[in-house]
Amino acid sequence: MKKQYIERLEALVNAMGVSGEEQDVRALLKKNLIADEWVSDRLGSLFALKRSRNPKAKTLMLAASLDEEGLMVSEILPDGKLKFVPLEALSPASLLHQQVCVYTREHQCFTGIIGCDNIKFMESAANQIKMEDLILDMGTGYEEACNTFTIGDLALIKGDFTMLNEHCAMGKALNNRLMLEVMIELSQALQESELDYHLAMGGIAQSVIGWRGSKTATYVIQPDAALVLTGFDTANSQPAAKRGKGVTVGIYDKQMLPGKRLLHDFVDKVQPCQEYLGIYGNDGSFIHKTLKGTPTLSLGIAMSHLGSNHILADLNDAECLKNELVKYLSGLSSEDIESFGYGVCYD
Amino acid sequence: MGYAMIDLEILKTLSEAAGISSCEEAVCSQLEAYMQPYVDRVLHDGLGSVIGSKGDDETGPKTMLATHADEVGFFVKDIEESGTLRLMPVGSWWTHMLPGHDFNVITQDGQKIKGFIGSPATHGMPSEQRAKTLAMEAIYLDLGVADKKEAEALGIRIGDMVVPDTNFRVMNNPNYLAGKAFDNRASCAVGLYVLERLRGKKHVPLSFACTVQEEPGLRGARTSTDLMHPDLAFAIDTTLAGDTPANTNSCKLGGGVVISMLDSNTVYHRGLIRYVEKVCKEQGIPYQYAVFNGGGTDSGNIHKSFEGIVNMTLSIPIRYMHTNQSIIHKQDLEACVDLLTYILCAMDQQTFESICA
Repeated sequence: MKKQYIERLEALVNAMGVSGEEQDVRALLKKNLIADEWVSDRLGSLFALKRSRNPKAKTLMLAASLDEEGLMVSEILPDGKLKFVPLEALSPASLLHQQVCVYTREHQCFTGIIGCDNIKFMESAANQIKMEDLILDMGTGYEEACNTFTIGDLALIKGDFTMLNEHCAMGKALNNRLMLEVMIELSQALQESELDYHLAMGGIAQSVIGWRGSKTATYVIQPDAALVLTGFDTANSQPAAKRGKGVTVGIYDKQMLPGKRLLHDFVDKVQPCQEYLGIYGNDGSFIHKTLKGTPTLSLGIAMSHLGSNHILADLNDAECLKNELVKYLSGLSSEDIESFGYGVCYD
Repeated sequence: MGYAMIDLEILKTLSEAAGISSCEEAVCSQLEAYMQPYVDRVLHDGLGSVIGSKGDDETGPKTMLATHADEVGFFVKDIEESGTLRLMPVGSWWTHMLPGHDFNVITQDGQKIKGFIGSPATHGMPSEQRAKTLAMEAIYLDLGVADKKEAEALGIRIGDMVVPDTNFRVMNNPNYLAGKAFDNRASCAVGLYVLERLRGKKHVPLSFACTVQEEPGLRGARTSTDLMHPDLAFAIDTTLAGDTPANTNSCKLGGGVVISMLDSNTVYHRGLIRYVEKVCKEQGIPYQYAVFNGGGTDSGNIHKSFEGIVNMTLSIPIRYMHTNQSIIHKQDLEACVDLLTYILCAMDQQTFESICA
């Protein structure tokens, strides 16, 4: 990946985007995606619409998550530490002793650490740790904490972007932010092409917290078919999903079964493709079943250590995904898109 | 500050009305009668929610207040040969809070049949059993009848609702009010008080939705929202006060309106929260915070509707939610009414857009 792309990816990864406060990530999308027109919903999702000259053009939605898992301050304790609730299911094991950035109502950022005062870790086993034992130690006393923080402030779990070697990147929310980078490069690569269909590319707010923005984004885009970009977890996968294998497609998850005609069309044209079956869902969950139903396929690349703030991904996979998508999207027609949907009339 | 505007008669009537989820007809008719003088028209969604609408031609964002009208309770699940009734809970109940308490069965023709929840004999109970709470299957209503025939002769049928038999009352400090179903009739009352305050004032296009079937899954919120398609919405609901020996959190009775930050299905709109905080500070309205994701509110289905609705929940702190009697504080109702009245009058398109930005 080119140097300036890696710099942009770094900005995307490090940006604050905890569910409900995605404005920094959204601003990066707005700066970098190329749009004929912008489409937003009221939860904070943003899409760049590339319009087709075809008067009967169908609409393809290409989506990834804008937001990331984080914490919300729930109480300021008498010793100046902060109690919190996790937004979405996070494991206390992955949170303990991680650095956080608490953002105040004015969007000022303060660094701290997730600690646990109830247990001496030098003496006790780590598996005793429970979510309710964890607190944020911001290095302040009570009064200073009260003057700085407000109940309801959001915290991101720090995982600064790092290149481990020439091809392997690490960082928080990499599973989603790398997909946004792929989307940005894609929009630039397709800038001069005339497509036979409208292409709506963008990020969905409040997505990792129950795919809430997926519903409202689908409402404003009204897609005829959708491709969802995501990272697929290599841990305990069967068949084994591996980094460095290029494009991966989602065959099954608990929230969505892909549109079969779309899936077959994609894997026929994009070879080789790593297949993925797992439980964890993606934005497709609500895209495919909102409104009249939309044929949807999840695709992306294999990544490791999902659920942590240090996700690993191979940038060669991302490059491969982008190149394959440029080819696939350039060759796609409104007629193809219509055929994925079994002839459902949207008018 | 005096709380003269809190009409206790309204609160008493709503609290004592019986209406578990899907059986809200009587409560909703009462609410309709109360709101009628203050609104331009009354609408109903297909599940029975009642919605008062006014100021349709005014400018500014279409705004909805949503308060659920249902309460937690039980359905009669079975009438046993002995005449005892087995119960199916609607909404979450802890069996610890049930034995010994008075409940009414409401029959199809609206008769109230008194009974109370029985319990195993406590004399000679082994200590292991004493330390445990009962399974919900062990809960039954004792009507004081000889057999099934006598129970049926009272008009009781499977599917009838069972609600606490609790009278509304003013406590020793008259700001403290006790009764059943304050979750969420207290908020319904807040909506009515707001309508009264808005009389003769200019305000945004407004709908006040008393939604049905919140407890089993925020269902009336979904259908009411579809009917009204607001731009901006406030759900009003009760939230756990943590000012008793049994519960501690930052929320207390008399501490003011609660700015809730999230619930189990919603992260409330951050721009709207900032705006509401600013209004409270500028207007001197007492407020406090709740960060409680152990339960849902109508916001869960409102905010995801259509293109997304700018939405949050304002809460009334309550002790002993989802039991046969709870306590609330007048000042918290007053603060919520003050806040909503101010916002509905001050809100305009420009303010709304700055909240969205």
